[in-house]
Amino acid sequence: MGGGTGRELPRADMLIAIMGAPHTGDLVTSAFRLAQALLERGASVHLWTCGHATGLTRTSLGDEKPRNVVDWARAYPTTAALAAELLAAHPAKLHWFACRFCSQERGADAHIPGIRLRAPFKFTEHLEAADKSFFLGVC
Amino acid sequence: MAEYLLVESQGRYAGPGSRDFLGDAERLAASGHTVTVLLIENGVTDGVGTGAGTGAGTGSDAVERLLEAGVRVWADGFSLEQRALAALLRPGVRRVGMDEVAEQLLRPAVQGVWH
Amino acid sequence: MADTGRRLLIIERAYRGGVETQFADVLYFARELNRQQGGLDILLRGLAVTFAAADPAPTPVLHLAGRELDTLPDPRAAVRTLLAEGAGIWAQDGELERFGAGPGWLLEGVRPTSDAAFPDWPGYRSVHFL
Repeated sequence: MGGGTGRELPRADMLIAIMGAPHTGDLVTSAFRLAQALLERGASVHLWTCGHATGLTRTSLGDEKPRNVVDWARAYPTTAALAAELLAAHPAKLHWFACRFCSQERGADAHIPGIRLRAPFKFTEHLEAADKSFFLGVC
Repeated sequence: MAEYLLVESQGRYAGPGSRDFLGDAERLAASGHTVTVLLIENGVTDGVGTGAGTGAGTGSDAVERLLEAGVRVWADGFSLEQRALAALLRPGVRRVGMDEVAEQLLRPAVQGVWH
Repeated sequence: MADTGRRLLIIERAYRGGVETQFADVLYFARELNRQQGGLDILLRGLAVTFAAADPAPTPVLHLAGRELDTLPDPRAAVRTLLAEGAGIWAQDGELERFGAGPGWLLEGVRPTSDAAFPDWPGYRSVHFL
């Protein structure tokens, strides 16, 4: 966590930049699915979140969503919990970055461990560090 | 010649963007590039139905033109299941899983574009 | 104009969030409003007509980092529940035709609209897009 990486970015086979907002479509689900499929094949993946997508990994989400009033006993993981699990399962192959400006602008700059804040003007380094890149949605 | 994986995630309900993007695929194919189009999320709506009642210039018409041009058109099975549209997939469009998408994307020659 | 005494909700934007939304989708809100209002009607149009498919197939399960996430939104189950709880559900017929949906595709109890049958706006206390 914290500011810049202070070191050169690792190479990645694929950068998945989640630009669009959660809760508007299936792009967050697609990002998780694609990352999982790539990682299962031994690929290295960078995830970058911009705009409202930076909220996916905010600490205040906790591990579980608020209770479902019609299924009180059931637990539903938050995106922060899912991100933590994915990072834990692939510590060497998955790196997750969040745009510092977007995070701060939305009061979401307290991220779970493993998420690295990066200034938006560093984004070009992330593009260069990946062989391929997808932008999912728009800010 | 380049090889492309073009991912259409929005579909005809999001406006004219999907039609334009599928037009990009058609142009690339006509220029001799190898193009695979993946329909995913709401984009799978372009890969279902007969095209009847859609009117001119809809996404489905664009898919028909892609198929006629020999472009490989895939539809994400997960997205089809979510939308109860798996049984309505139009002929010529092949259902795929994310594993196949990842493998295609990891081929060095393939460039990906997400819409 | 028949006064239904109800409110009409129109849902045309569908599939707004997966892993981040899970149970808390638009139909979760509609279900709670139906309970609070003592009944309401819902018109599904656009891609939202697929919420009313009879297809009993469960919503897909996601495999992520060793977890099986089986709590993704399940709009078809939600529509069944809404019907059981007294909500009226309509589906716009033009969309069904567009998908090439044949007879039996629509869940029993869901009313397809037609020129002769359509939710009558003046008969509702209010109309809202959701």
